[in-house]
Parts: sequence; C-alpha cells; structure tokens
Amino acid sequence: MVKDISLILAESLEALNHRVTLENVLTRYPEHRAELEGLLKAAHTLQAAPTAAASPSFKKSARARLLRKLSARESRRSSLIDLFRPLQRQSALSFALALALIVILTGGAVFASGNSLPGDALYGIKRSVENARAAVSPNDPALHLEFANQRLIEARTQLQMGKMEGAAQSLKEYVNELKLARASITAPQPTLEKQIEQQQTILQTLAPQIPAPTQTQEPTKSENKTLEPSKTREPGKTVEPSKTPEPGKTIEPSKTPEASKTVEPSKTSEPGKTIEPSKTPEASKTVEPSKTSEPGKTIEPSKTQQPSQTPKPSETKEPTETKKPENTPKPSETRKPTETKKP
Amino acid sequence: MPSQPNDARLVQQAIAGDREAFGDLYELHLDSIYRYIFYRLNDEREAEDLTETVFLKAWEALNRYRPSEIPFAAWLYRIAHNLLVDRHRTHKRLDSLDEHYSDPQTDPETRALHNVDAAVIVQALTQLDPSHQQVLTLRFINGHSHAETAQIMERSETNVRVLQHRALAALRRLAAGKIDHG
Repeated sequence: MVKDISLILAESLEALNHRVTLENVLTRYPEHRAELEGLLKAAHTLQAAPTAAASPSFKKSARARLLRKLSARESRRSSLIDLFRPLQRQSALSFALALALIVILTGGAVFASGNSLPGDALYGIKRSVENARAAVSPNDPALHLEFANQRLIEARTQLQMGKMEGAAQSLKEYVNELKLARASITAPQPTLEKQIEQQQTILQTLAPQIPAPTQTQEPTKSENKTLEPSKTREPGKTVEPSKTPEPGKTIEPSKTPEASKTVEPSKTSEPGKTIEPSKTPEASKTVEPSKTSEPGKTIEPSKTQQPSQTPKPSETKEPTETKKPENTPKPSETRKPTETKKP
Repeated sequence: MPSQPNDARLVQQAIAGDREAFGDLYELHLDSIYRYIFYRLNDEREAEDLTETVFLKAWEALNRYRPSEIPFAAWLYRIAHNLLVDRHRTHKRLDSLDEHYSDPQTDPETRALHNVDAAVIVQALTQLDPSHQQVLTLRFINGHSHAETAQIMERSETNVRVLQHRALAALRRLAAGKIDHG
C-alpha cells in the first residue's frame, strides 16, 4: 500500500514538474485523492519557499577567505611535516646505525672468535663458522689443513697457559684434521702433502710437551685412541703417576677418597681396600705419593691435619686405637694402609 | 544531477593542487550547498559557516575523490550531509515553531498546507528526521530528480520514493500539530 502511494506520489510530482495541473493529477488517482492532495501541496510549499542564499557579504569574501584558510592549513601541515621530517631522518639514520652496529658486532664476533680457545665464549662461533665452511666445501684438503693449523695454534696456546686437558683435546682434533686433509687429497698435490708433512713434524716436537697419554699418539695411526681427556692432567690437583711408588699398594691420586667418604677405621687397617677409584681428592687434601712412601713423614699436621686431631705416629700403629671412632682421623687425616702397618 | 560544465576540468586541476581552481568550484557550488544546509538548520550564519566547512573538508579529502564514481556536486552534498548529521547529534536543536505561527484557521492541516507562511514549513523541516530532511531538501529545495537524489543519498530510486512519501507525510503531521497547538 505504501509502495503504491509512494510511486503514485512520485509520478504525480513528475507530472506537476511537467506543468500538469494539480487537479488533473488528482483526477488520475481518485482513490488516493485526499492523501495525495496534502502531500503534493506540502511539496509545493517547500518548492515555493523563498530561495535561501548566502548573504552578499559572505559571498563577496567567501572565496578569498576559503583560499586563505586553505593556505593556512597547508602551512600548518607543512610545519608538522617539517617538524617530523628530522625525526624521520633521524629514525632512518638510527636504523642504519643500528643495522651497521649489528653487522659490525656480528662480523666482529666472528672475527674476534678467530683467536678464541676452547672454553671461551666465542669459541662456539669459531667452530660454527668452520663447520659452515666445511659444509660448503666438503673434502677440501686445504680447508682441513687450515683447520688443523687452527687446532695446532690452540693446542700451543693452551699448552703455554698450562691447560693440558684443552691442549690435548686440541691436539687430538688437530690430528683428526690432518687425517681428513690427507684423506681429501684425491689427486697428487705436492704442496699440500708437504704442508701435512710439516705439520706432522710440528706435532712430533709438540707432542712430548703434552701429558703422557698424548705422547704416545701417532698422527696416522692411533690419534683417536690416545687423546682422551685425562682426569689427572692438571698438575695442581693430582699426583703424576710416574712419581707414585708402588701403585698397587699406595693411594693413587685419582683414587683418594673424598672428605665426606671417610675411610672407616676398621677399613683403614686393611691395606688393600682403602681407596675408591672415582674419589679424587682436592689437591690440598691429597697426600703426595712421595710422602706416603715414608711412614714417618706421611702425614704432615701443618698440611692436612689439625694439630689437635693429628694422631701421633706411634698411636697410629696400634690397631686398637685406630678403631676407636673418637680417634678416627678425618678423611684428610686418614692414615694410609702402608703407614699403619709399618712400625 | 545538475552538474556545472567546468566541473571536470576544475576538479582535475584542484586534485592536482590548484587552489584557484578549487576556489572556482567553491563559487560554482556555494549556493546549492548553502541552501541544502540552510533549509535544514534555518540559521543563516550557521549555514554559512557550515558551507565553508564543507569545502574545507572537500579540499582535504580531494585526493580520495573519484570523479568516475560520483559527480562532484553529489560528493559535496554527502560531505554536507555528514556534517549536518554530526551537528544534529551534538546540538539537537529543537526550535519552537510557536513564534512563527500567526494565522490559525479551522482545519489545522489545511491551515498548515495552504495558509501558513512557507517559513513555518521550512521551520518544520528542521524538526524532521535527518533522512527525511535530506530527501525533501534535495528533492524540493535543491531540485534534484529522484535519480540524482538516490545517487547523493546512496539509495535506490525506489527507496528514495518511499522515503519521500514518508517525509512529506511527516512534514504535514508536524506542521499541522504545531499549528494546532499554537
């Protein structure tokens, strides 16, 4: 119904615009005459309303005022843009600097890692770079030779620093790299082979400086078997095996019990059962083998025992005394089997 | 849509940043936009300010205007309409019609439609719903066709016809009621 009258209204309005009289229009739709007449007259009233127009004073200056405001807005916008432009430039500069810094730091880290040693923070980077290069150029003898040289430098440096364990490990890897370098040579390459020989010569001179296990290794034969990280390489902590008299009967440095694992008095009297292999004592508490072989000098109160607790040599020889808990010497004070038996 | 013959060229120049061309467009469309606004506010000063605002907004949004999608005049009406809606939301002016009524007759509806001053109808127009105001202003004050009004209002012609009918009926009721109570 509404649609119908809205369409009739629209058609009637169009007819009036084409100079059809109101009466003629209304006669077309007699059933809607009353409503249609009111709507058409309302519309006509609106159309006939005095045409509103902006005041002449407004129109006179309107254009100039508008253009002035546009200019002002443009200026403000430009000012804002100018205000932020340095920031944008600064941001770009900051970004470039940050990027450069990252590149420098990253590159610098890689560069700095070149002289790092096993255990250093940058050593991982150094080895990662090497691994990446090896992945890119597999079976490149020159590359393995270069890596071998690096390991050699590391071994020497650590040797000078007294890091025997690290030096041994580096030397082991050095030998491995030499082996890989040699294996990678598929065609005669005199220069490389000569370099490898030179490296082996260097190894021969360097090897004697490394603790016992590494001395026996041969680059081409048993390099993988000889350079196991030794538990007794640090001289300050252990006793060198070569100095230990009668290993089977005395306390081996690496087998000395820890403080918390005190030898029971009853056990201390048994010579052959005193030491657990895995219980390496700290250096300060370790009885030096050279001293342990001399009964009278085995336990020096000033070093390993508190004077008040130090058993007298004559007392330690008496089995009955050594079995008393209150007289039991502390771990560091433990008498050695060989001592307790000798009068 | 009664478009100005120079619109296309001026619009292109204005989009390119030519302020003088935009000044020409302002002068060409100032009256129609002013009327569209004035008959919905019935306030000359406010209509002038809002008309200027329409063109300032248009200048700022000119880079987003697509001549192929809508005539420039219709685009200006849309900007004006949005400003009026915003203003309507914030001000909600409800001016009394009482002071304008001065010719009571026996039939209120007849008095409203035949005998009262056109200003009363215009005043009643300002009391209508914004969409009713818009369609009546565009159709009967600014003289746009159904099709043009539909384009400006972004509605179908059928929808505009229905809206036009409802708006005129509302205007009659409002004017009659105001006169009856006056």
